[in-house]
Amino acid sequence: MSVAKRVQQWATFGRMWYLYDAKWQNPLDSADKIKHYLAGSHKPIYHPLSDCGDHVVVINSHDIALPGDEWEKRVYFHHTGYAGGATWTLAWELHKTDSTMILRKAVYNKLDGNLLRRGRMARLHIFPDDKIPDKILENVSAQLRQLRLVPRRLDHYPQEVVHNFPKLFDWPEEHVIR
Amino acid sequence: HFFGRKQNCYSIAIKYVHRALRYGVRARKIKKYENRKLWDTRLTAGCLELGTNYTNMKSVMDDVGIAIDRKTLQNMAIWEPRSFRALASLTKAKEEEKGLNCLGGPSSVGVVTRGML
Repeated sequence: MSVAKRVQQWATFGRMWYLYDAKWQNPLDSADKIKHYLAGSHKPIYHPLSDCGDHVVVINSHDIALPGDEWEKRVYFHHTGYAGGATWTLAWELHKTDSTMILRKAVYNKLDGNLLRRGRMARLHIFPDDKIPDKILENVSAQLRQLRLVPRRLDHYPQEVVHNFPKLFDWPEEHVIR
Repeated sequence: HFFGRKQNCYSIAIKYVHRALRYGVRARKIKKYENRKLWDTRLTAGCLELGTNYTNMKSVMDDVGIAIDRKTLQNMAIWEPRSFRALASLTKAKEEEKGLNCLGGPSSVGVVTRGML
């Protein structure tokens, strides 16, 4: 292989570290997106046996947003293996004990159920807030686009912008809103 | 590639050899299916990198009359990226005309409407 081709080979097969901000995103839809990057199916050189998966670093997993009433209704089953060791944990309870578990389980269940799954899960790094260890932050090279648009909160806009925004109607000053 | 008595003792080995031969025959059909699935995965990946859709690309190539098969296409995506990029740009140009990924439906370019549409 020539010198130029060698560099192209390194660049093609190099492992990327992607950053994904899970703030206010659906963990199940995020898992659908992340599984492709862990497996390497976003590359035209993909093959299941060629170990072409990338790392994905997920931040703000504490702020994920499950749709509808799933926080109260979604249950996670676990059995210790011993008699009477079956537990059904609600999503909000699981999130309270460990805020990374819901996303981890979502990605685990979306990946193919073969022997490559454990290796792919090892390349997924989930953090509940945006504090990432320096060693991992050094490696991060690209970012994945969020699925749902994250709107800006009204109290995060400067006050004069809110005050000067055009209004069609406002209550009179003496009006008491019940 | 057999281990233990399977590689040296005839009456034990023959059973495993027969199984291996049966797998070999069955795999000839499965190989075609697995390869096609792999090509489809690779082509969806290539198309998404370039901002289109594999289904749209297939549809546009069918419409225009480019009859390149999946095997050649995936080889193009890996080894001839510029040709593949040309096909992707063609898809992006044609998909609007065909009305894919939009609410309007197909446009009436090249259709004899006699001013009725």
